Amino acid sequence: MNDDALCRSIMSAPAAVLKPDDTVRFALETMVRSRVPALPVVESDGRYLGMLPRSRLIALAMPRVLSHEDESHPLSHLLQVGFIQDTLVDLQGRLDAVANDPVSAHLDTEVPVLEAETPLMNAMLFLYRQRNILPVVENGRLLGIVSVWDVLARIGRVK
Amino acid sequence: MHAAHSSVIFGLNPLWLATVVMIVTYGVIISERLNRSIIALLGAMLMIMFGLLTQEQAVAGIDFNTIGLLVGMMIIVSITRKCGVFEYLAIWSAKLVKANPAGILAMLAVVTAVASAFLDNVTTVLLVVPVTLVITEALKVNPYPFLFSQIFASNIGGTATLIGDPPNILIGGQVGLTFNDFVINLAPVIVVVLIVHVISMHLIWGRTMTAAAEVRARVMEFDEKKAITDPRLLKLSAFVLALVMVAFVLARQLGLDSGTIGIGGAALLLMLDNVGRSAEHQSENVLKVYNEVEWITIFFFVGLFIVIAGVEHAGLLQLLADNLLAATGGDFRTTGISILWASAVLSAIVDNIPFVATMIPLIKSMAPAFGGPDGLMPLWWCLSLGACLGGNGTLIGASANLTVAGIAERNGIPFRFMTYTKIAFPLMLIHVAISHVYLMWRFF
Repeated sequence: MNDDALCRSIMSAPAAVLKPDDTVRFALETMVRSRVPALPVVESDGRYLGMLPRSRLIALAMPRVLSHEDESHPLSHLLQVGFIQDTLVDLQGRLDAVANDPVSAHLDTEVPVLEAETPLMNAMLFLYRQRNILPVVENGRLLGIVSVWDVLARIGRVK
Repeated sequence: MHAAHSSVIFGLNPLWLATVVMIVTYGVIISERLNRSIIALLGAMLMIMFGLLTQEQAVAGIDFNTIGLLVGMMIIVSITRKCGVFEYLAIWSAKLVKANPAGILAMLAVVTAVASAFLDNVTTVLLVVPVTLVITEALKVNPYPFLFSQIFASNIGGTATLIGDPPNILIGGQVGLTFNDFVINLAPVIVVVLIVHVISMHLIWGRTMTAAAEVRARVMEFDEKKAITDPRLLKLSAFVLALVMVAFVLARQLGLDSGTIGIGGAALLLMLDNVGRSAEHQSENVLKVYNEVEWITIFFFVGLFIVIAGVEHAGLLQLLADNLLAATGGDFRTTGISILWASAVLSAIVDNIPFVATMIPLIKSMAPAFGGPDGLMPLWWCLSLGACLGGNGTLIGASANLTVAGIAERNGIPFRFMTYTKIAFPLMLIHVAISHVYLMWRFF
């Protein structure tokens, strides 16, 4: 297979990498400063553990039941949440309560994982389905990421 | 009937063969190794393939009155819940008691019980539990007592009406009892049981609950009007639901069976919700509603009806009924009270639907001993009270229990079988004892 048809060709280095015992607050600051939608979490020996996506941080600031979408019980989704009159202060309070948790407690391990030899089209389909950053992992170790910005830049020949 | 027997494969004894099929089917249902709708359909197929039933007899065994009522109510509820009225009720009731946690514990039990009298129990808890969790989070109180109380309230409230709980739908549909029969004979004791439940919840948990004034103020700021998503749909649903209730109350005068009323109400609400929309929008909208019908339950019922028709044709149920009558000495009161307690304890441990579905034809065949079908009336109330209230006894006793436990676990609230059962089983026994006294006083 042509190497250009593989994820290897569009892989890049992540803007930052989190360690499992980094705090939620540190992760949030890093994500905001570097304007990335998700960060990979990696052991000191390079082993990939999972992703911390921005949706997890948003979820931590909401009443917990709102972020637990239950596919087997579609009825249990609250349809309207406008009745909850939470202010920014309330959201800050919820985040403060977990700010010192290690990021390992809030990982998203469901993020699809690519390999260097994964066809490019597989990555395209994930990006199309609202994933912005996908980890590239080989033998359990993080090799790099495929990010929507890298891919768009390459497709559109943006320098 | 005997012609069918002659074609049983290998010339086996039909009574034994049918009994084995039923025991294996129920065994797999109880073991939960296979989805219950699959095993019920497989059992039904075996009844036909073994020659115990012809396909025609099998189809005749399916009670389409029950199926119609179930599907109709599921459609009505799936449209109604979209307007947010249940969230509205929960928030409104919490504010009514000034967001005092003990008051909310009681109010939400009442709201759950009332909603559950008109909706399926699982649907009720799916609608009430998420709002409850938002409220308890805001109040910073332990959500467990609220969820525990709502499990009970949903099973208690559901017992009061024809449409509140699957066992009642089964009994009503197959015996031809009306909505009024259920309300007149069951609602009085259910009100008492509900009051006892609310008081026991208060004594166990409510009286020690506290919430600071400032967190209570936050709940008081909840704006229940914002929970209403679609005021037009709310009016349409309220109109159709009211019409369905009137039809249920006047069913005898109107000459309508409950299945017709359920499906009729569903068709009317579907029409009102879709008329004037584009064809494409209509099919999308209707498909969404049909997808929310709980097909697992429907196919489970269909399969179960056929399995039971199989054992009925083979003569097993008559044999069991004769034995039960012999054991109780043919005494009406002993028979009724045995049905009450046996259904309660069994329903706490196993799925009450197959049990009730089997008991119905069994009780029907006792009619000659107790002065015809009308004489059996009290026995139906024994069966309903035992099967519905017994479901509270353990975490696996009713589907609403498992649903609440599932949502709780996903939200980080541990819901363990033994911690639940230790409190729930004795409370369930008290509720059944209250029913026992009521039945003795009113019917025996």
